[in-house]
Amino acid sequence: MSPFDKEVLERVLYRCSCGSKKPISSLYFCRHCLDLRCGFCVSHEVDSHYCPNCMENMPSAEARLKKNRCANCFDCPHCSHTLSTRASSVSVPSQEDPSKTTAKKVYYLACAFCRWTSRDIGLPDQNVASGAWPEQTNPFSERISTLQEHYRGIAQREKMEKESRRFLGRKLSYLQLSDKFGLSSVVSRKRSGLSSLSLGASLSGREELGRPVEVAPADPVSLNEIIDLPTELLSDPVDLFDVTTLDQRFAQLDFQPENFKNIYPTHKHLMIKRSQRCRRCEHNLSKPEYNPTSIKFKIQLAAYYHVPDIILYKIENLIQGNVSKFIIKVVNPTNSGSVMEFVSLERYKEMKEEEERIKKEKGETEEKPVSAINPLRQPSIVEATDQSIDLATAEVILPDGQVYLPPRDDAAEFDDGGVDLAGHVDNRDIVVWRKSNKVGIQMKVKPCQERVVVGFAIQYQYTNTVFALDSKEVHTATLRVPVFLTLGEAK
Amino acid sequence: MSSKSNVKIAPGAIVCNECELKGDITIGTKTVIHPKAKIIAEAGPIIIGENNLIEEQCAILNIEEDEEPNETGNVPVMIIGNNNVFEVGSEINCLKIGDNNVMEAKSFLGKQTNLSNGCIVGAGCRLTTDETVEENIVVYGGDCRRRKAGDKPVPQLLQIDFLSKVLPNYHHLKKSAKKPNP
Repeated sequence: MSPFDKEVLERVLYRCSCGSKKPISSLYFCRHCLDLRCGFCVSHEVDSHYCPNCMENMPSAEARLKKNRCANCFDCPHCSHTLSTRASSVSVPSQEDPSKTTAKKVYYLACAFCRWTSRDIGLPDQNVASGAWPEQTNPFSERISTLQEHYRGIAQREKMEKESRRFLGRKLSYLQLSDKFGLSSVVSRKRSGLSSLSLGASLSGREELGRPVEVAPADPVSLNEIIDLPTELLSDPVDLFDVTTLDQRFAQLDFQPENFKNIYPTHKHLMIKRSQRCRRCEHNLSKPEYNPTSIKFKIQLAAYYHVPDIILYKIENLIQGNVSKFIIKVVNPTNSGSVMEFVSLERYKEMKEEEERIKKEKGETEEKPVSAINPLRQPSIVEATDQSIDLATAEVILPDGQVYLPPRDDAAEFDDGGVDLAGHVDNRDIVVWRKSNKVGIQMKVKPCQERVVVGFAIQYQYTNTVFALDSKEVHTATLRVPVFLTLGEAK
Repeated sequence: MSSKSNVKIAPGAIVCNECELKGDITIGTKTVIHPKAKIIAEAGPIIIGENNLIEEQCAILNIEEDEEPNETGNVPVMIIGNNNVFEVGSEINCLKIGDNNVMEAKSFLGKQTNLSNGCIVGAGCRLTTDETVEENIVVYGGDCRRRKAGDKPVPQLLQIDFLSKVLPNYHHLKKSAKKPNP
């Protein structure tokens, strides 16, 4: 039972601001909204492209040109593992003296998993390790590029007409011009007064629009000329080792080879590094470093580092109808102390409704969120249906009173002095044990059904230390998060 | 069950002292057997050819299974050909292995699966089917997928030469049978 199994991960679920339940490892904490965000409440953006094998960074424009494939690395056409370059020595008559033979290193591609080599399809061994491996050319690429040029011209003409009709003296935002067929560069060049690059003719002013390239339609093939399938297909026995599977064919959409005799290795797909942004306040929640080999983050606002983590510590035998005790371990990951309280789910709902009522009375209208970066974009906010009503199946008896959570102190393991409670007194019934920033808290549960799920809300204090750098004020807010614990099966 | 060990090692073979040899075993020339390899010939003799490479923790077993006692009285002879490589942790129970095969790490061959020539059994693959694997077949993956290779795997002559020079520096070797002088 590894710690990443779904059952183990989903024993403690937190309710995200949108309503979905996630384990704490899948949640982010927005420091400005002071709320939890899950994968659905953030917008995912592409940061950079890199090859997973050679770890080479690639600017997005270049990646687009190369169809998001790495130039140096190949995938095995058989098992899609990464191909490695192997060397072998070949005796070759040396240049000075034809009678003597010297060893020369030649390179071939080999797969370490299924042992496919480039020699299987007859690719000649290369003399250079980086090897200019011959590639298959798409027989239709020329036709496709002429068609693309043709349609690009038409789209550009349409755009110009639309623009000239709409232009009434108002300033037109560049962002509205969509990048259909790669037009935005053409339009921006036109605006800035530089000569147009397309269609060979230099355009002056707005009146003269470029004429689209005349493209002849493709020659139709008469049905009589189509050769029937060779009858050998019906009579020859099928060698299953030679026929490619559908997955192998679809990995190379251009050619879709049917047998292994002419299957070529494909270039490796690039991977992306993504950054995540809160949809409401547009602040970055997660931003990785640019270097592909680095796993660190520039900005990492994971919930694990800001929200108290609840772990099931010890559970007594669960019997239906009887009250059993269980102990949870609460860990405070922040650098400041926090006072924790446990609130039942009904009370949590009441508090939330009251807060919203107060907000409405104050007159704060619920604005439609507008993206700060791009005023024309309206981010979509996810709101899941509230399923928390049915999730808790057992009655939980929450401890009364507050529990102090000491801050995280990295030097504490070397200091045997004991935990500094900052003046708070512990209730021995609730707090079972303490260890630096961890507390063991005892609760009681009365199972009603076989599957025991307990739900309550934790209320803790969050101190925002880096929020306002100019004012140097330290804001402390009281936050509430509903939590659901799956305790197990009751007999 | 004879526990007398009757091992014939050809001159040129490198057999380390720490390997476990039991029963009637014949080892061909230029074969390298690493320490901690296990060759048990309980139910019958084992004949190993030339240029083989048997690595650590490898088990080549010709043992009787308890369920079916040998009624016919025939002694099963296990024959292993030349240029085979048995990587670390592999286990071989079958009776016939040809030439130029590679058994990758932690692979397993049952008693009924015989290998012909040029086969490669991938790491961790367990083959227990009653068949003789065709020539140049590669078995790979957790689900033992198969593929026909273009040609047989490269013989590990370079590695065998290297080991023949290096192993005697660090291990005691078993003595090989002297050639009878005419």
